[in-house]
Amino acid sequence: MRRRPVTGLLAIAPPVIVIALFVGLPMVSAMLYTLGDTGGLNSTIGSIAQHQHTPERGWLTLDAYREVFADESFRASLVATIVVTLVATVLVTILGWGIALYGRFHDGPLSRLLTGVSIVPMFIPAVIGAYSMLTFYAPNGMLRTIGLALGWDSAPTLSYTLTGVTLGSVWSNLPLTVLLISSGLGGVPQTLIDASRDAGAGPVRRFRKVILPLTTVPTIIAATFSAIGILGSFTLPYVLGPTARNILGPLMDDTYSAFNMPQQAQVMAVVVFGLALVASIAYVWANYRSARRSEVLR
Amino acid sequence: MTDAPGLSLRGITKTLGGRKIVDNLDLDVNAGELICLLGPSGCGKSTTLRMIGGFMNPDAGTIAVRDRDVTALSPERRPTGMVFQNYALWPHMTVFQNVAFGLQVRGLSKAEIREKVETAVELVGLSHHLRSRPGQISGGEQQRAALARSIVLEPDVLLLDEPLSNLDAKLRVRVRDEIREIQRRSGITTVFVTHDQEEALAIADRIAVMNAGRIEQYDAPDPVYRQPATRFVANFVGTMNFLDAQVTSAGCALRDGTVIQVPGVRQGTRVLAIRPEDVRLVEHGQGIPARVVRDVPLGHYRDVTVSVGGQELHAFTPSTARPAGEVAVVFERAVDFAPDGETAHV
Amino acid sequence: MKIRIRATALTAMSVTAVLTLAACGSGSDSTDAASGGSQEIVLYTDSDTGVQQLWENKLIPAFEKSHPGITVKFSTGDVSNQSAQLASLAASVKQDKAPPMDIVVDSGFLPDASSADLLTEITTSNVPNSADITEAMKSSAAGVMPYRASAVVLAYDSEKVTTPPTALPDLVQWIKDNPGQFAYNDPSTGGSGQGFVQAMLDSHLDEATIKAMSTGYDENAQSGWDAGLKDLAALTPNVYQKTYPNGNEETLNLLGQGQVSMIPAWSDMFLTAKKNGTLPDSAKAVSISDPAMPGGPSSLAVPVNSKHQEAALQLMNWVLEPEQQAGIVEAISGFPVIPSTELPKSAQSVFEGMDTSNVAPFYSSKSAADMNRKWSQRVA
Repeated sequence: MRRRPVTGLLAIAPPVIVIALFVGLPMVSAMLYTLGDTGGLNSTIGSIAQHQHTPERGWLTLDAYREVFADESFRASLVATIVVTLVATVLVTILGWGIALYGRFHDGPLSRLLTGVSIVPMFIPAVIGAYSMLTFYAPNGMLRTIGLALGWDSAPTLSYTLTGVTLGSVWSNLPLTVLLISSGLGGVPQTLIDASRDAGAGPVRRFRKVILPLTTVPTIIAATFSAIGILGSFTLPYVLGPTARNILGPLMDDTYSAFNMPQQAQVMAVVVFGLALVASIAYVWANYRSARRSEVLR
Repeated sequence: MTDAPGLSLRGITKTLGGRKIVDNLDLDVNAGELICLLGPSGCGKSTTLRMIGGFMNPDAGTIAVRDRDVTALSPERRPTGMVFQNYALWPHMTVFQNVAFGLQVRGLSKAEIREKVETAVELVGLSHHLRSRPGQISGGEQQRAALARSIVLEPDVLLLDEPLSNLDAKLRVRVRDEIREIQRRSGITTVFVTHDQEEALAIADRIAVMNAGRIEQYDAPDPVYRQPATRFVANFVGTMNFLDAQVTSAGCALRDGTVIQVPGVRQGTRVLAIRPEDVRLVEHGQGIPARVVRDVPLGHYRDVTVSVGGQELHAFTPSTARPAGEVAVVFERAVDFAPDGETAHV
Repeated sequence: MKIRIRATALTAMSVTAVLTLAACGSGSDSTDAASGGSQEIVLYTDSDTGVQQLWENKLIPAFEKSHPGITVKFSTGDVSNQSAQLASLAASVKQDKAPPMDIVVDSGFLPDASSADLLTEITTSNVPNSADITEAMKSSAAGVMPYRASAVVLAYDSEKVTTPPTALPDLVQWIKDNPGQFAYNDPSTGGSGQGFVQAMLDSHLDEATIKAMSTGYDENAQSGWDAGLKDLAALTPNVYQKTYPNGNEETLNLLGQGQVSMIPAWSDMFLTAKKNGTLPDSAKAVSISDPAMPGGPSSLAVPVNSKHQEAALQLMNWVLEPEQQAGIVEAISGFPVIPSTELPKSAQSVFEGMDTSNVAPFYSSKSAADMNRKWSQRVA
């Protein structure tokens, strides 16, 4: 028994070392690079980059951050990223809930079909999905064609727009959301719902007072996965989004390679990382809450 | 309040998975009565209860509460209240909030809710746990909380689904008496489902013994126990001895040919049913010849197995007795059935 | 039991570590010195599948057939490995060992290899046919020899556009007169859009400045771009959906689907798409002038320490022959580097409308990076 802590530490040492070496170390050195450190691991990129900011005095400088935040296209993209992430996450969570509820309480061929269809995007590679959406939303694409056939002359063209990117993000995050929420919903015993019906509660009250409080954790987990995925997305906004004022992914890529400004690109990456941290606060809290609850309930 | 029955079931039928779970069932419960649906698993008692509560729709038949047809009503609208087998308390709410839930649905004021909740919780003896969560209180206390939650809504019919099965033996006795007390005080018509015949005998005003979707006997505990209508009821409620006998005018011929006299028994091939406590052990020669096979002391009485007429019977004798070897038995009471189950009284 | 598990785990980890190191360590050169009469030279490329197939399926077999004493071993690498390959070549030269390849095709590290003096200089004495290379194609980097080229041309649907503009100012006017019918991609995502943007900027610059931008980097001279950027910004309301797709393929798709009627496109991508049927038969292309949209050659080179110099140089010489140049035209629609008049008529007709001998250079990568950024900030 005395040996156990050491054996345990030895066992987890390899993965921890790998993560520290290949994730932690580059992260730290990248952040140092954004602050102007072009030595050590950053020397190669430091010799290639254009328009770098190095400290005039002392070790570190915030000039790179100043430049990036002063850039109007970055600020516009940042706002676009936050707005699209929020809207798409809310939409996909609501949609996922709808499908999960329908599947749980109206089990039948139609609901199973709906659930199956909602999982399909998981099996479609991102590039193919993005291009097919581009075609679907084009001026002569399916959306407008069907609209025209139904008498709607001015169905919107959503290709190369943020609306298109939002809808596309909902599409690609729907499967995981539906799966997570369905599984959380499955963990709510039917008797708890029956008891609330017995007490006279209608569907809305049952949802608000019984189902939702008991599935807070899976809902938050699903929303966090969606949010972080959309924050860091590249393929969909690259193919489907507008040229300017797009999600930060394509702008970061352009800044790094096409503009040859890796330092500024790293600054943007740090900003995205910060946004992701904010998104995961709820996730950490949810996990803490569920761990605490499982100790209290027998 | 009229003489209308508190609850009335007519022709209730339910088929599930090709099997008839409930078969053309009729049931009347008087207002304020506590009746028991008693039977083995699979007999349809829980299904019947679910249908009364509105959680399942009968394939045929009607359900009426106080002369009002509620068959088409959903559980939200039915004047019934159900206490589930696993209590189904909402784990994220306190006891107070659990009990208050239904009142909030009805839109009562905060003050009214508080008053009613506190009354109900006091009725079940849980006042000191108002702010506790279900996870923090014991099984028996959870059950009482579930009871309070249903009672506070003043339902016309209270439904209890095997409420004591999750409790240990000692607790069961105490809690069942409490339930009886609470029911008496509140006067709510109550239907109680159980497979434990001792429970049913202890607290029900009337017992409906169910088998394969039908009610075999519906009567007060005493008649059910002492005058079982069918062989199934005789066997299910309490322990029962069964003796095969050929009955002629000369008497009852047991398996090994011994002839005994049992008044009031019909003629033909019959089965005699005798309660173990009605089998009295006497000195050899003073009754039907018997031989002691086994003697099991059980605390305040002994379960003695005797061989009579080629078959074995159980006899309950006082613990002070020391029966052994050749003895004799006297049957205090007996009932007889046709081999397939219908009866005649003695 | 615990000791045994721990020992097993440690053994497993050590074995894994040793194997990994061994795998990393291997990768030493596999080129042997040739034995006896026949020589084997290693040809290396990290270009795309079209180029790989051109060499593997067409050029190499034809060369081996006409040069019985030489076999060519075809080797490919990934474009992401460029710096590793360059480092490996440099190390072999330094240590005077055999290089990993005898002839390099199309690789992006050639300019750097040239400036590091790792390549054999090409002269008319060791590659006689190099005298035929048209002036505009010739490379300024030592040891780098172009063998094919492509340029950005103006692709259009001849059913919708009967007389295409052939000068840049006319093109700009056309775009304004036909809103929504022209598209070009974000210049940072593909050379066709970048070529168009550069032409627009160059129309306001003098020749000396343009040369400075294409050979080096002059940040101060970039103020000369302001006029061109303003022109481009003024065009945004008139381009397809007022937006700029990402990637060369995107605008080709738009032209193919009939969503637009004119785009800038890479000559080889245009011709290949037409051959495959993704562009209709009515699609045609012209080169524009005043100024021209840029283009560039793809090149061959021989490492200075190759043990098979003569054979490699022979291959380079052979590729410049009219027959081979025509073959390259046919296979991947590349511009020939010798005057197109030397090619058979069938090869010449492929480039109808395009000027294959006048290929203006792209900006240097540093200048282009700044151009992309300024475009993104002021035009998009």
